Amino acid sequence: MMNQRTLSCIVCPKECALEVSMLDKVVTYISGYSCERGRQYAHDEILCPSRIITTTVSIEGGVCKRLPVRSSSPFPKERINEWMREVKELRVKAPVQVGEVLIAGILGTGTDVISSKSVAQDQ
Amino acid sequence: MERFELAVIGGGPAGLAAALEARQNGIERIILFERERELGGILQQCVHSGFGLHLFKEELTGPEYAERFIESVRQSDIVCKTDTTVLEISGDRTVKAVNAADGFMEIGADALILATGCRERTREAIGIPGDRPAGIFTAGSAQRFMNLEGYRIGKRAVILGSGDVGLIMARRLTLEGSEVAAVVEAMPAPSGLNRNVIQCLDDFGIPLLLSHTVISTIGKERLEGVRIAQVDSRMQPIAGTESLIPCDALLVSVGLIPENELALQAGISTHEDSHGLAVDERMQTDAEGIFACGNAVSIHSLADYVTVQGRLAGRSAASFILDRRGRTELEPMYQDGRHTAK
Ligand SMILES: Cc1cc2nc3c(=O)[nH]c(=O)nc-3n(C[C@H](O)[C@H](O)[C@H](O)COP(=O)(O)OP(=O)(O)OC[C@H]3O[C@@H](n4cnc5c(N)ncnc54)[C@H](O)[C@@H]3O)c2cc1C
Ligand code: SF4
Repeated sequence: MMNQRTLSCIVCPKECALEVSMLDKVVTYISGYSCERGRQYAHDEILCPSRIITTTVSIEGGVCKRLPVRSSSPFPKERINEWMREVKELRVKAPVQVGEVLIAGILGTGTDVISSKSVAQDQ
Repeated sequence: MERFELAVIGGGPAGLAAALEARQNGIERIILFERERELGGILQQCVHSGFGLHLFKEELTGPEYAERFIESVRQSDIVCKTDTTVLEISGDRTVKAVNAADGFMEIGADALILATGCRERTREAIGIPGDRPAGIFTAGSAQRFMNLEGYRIGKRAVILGSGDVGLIMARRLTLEGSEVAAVVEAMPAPSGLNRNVIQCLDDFGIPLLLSHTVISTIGKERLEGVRIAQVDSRMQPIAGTESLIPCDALLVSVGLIPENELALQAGISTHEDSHGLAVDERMQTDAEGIFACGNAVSIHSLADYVTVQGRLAGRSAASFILDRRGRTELEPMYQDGRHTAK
């Protein structure tokens, strides 16, 4: 079945209006994007909507109380709650570096959970 | 009194960019004041992603974006005074500040850059009647409690105002297991970015009530609920549309105002309507040698633009300092009192 969907690109604040045409579950045509990232977003949003997920976890012995963490790349949206449950269990000890992998390949996906910040040990 | 070539007040993206840019433009003695323990300003509590798309072509979180600049500052010889509050500045470019380690200090500088950011408008500023029970926050202070201190804000929240901070907090609360009953917005359209409406509300099925407002709060010790109503085109509640939403937290996200107490005390001009510092195209205020950038000038929705503006202020301050130094060296008898050499 042919159908069409209009999306608003959320990759950057330009918010281009994207038109996606599909035949059954196959994307046949995408228009309205101003850059390659937007085209990719439209494609992914139809097939498997994903987001960069961020939260904070507790950290011991550091100069701050909470450590901000994120998914290394967009993660499937329907599984956000599972992601949160898993990440809540994290116990991190300072020091930690920005970009350090805290959970590799979370929930069997190819994305990691990484630190969003370097935290030095509290002297 | 210790002397510096440049003093930067505020260690958010604006101040960091300004200090680094001045350093790269040949200014050697720079001091930066920040009242928080860490540099980075408001970015440290913005743990969501969406920073750096313009400058780095990557989607970074606030702390990651800040760290790129903090690292460069650490590797430079810029003197950073964190945990240090600036109490007063004056038109002759002296700065009075205080911290626990050094106590009171007074320094003189050839140029100043004001990068003090903004603060939030409060419920008082928009006048919602009701008692003052626990559970009512500005969205930014709720963000700070959650993301920096690790507190839970409430079990069921209503958010008043659809600014970006409110939208981002709606998602944040939901992810942390609180229920967001609704985002209530008096205007007929959301005030935050569409991308935030999609990824913060729509993704989680959070209702957005447009043309609605909170008319009163209920609860004495702890918030128990809010009364909302639809508003007409003049923002007046329409009789007969009132309803009650039970909740134990209300987050108010009704806008930001540039923070310029220091400049006002020193008699530096601000725009009456926006409260932002009045600057020329080189980011100089009406006080000679005092520059400004970032949210202290006007509210920016993108940190990348703040960085760009900080760089411009840093460059302008550097050429002001170098120009003045050139003049004092060439003309040792220079008569203008403001231009006496150290
Ligand atoms: C909730 C929220 C979400 C946002 N989301 C995004 C986003 O997704 N993407 C994006 O690009 N942008 C976003 N922004 C915008 C961006 O973060 C801001 O525009 C930017 O951080 C402003 O930088 P600034 O340096 O002017 O101010 P700030 O970051 O506020 O820094 C000012 C600093 O000055 C210090 N200071 C103030 N007074 C004194 C004093 N008297 N003495 C010493 N220090 C002082 C303060 O402590 C503070 O650290 C968001 C903003 C908010 C509030
Ligand atoms: S298509 Fe490209 S330019 Fe347009 S909003 Fe998306 S990322 Fe931004």
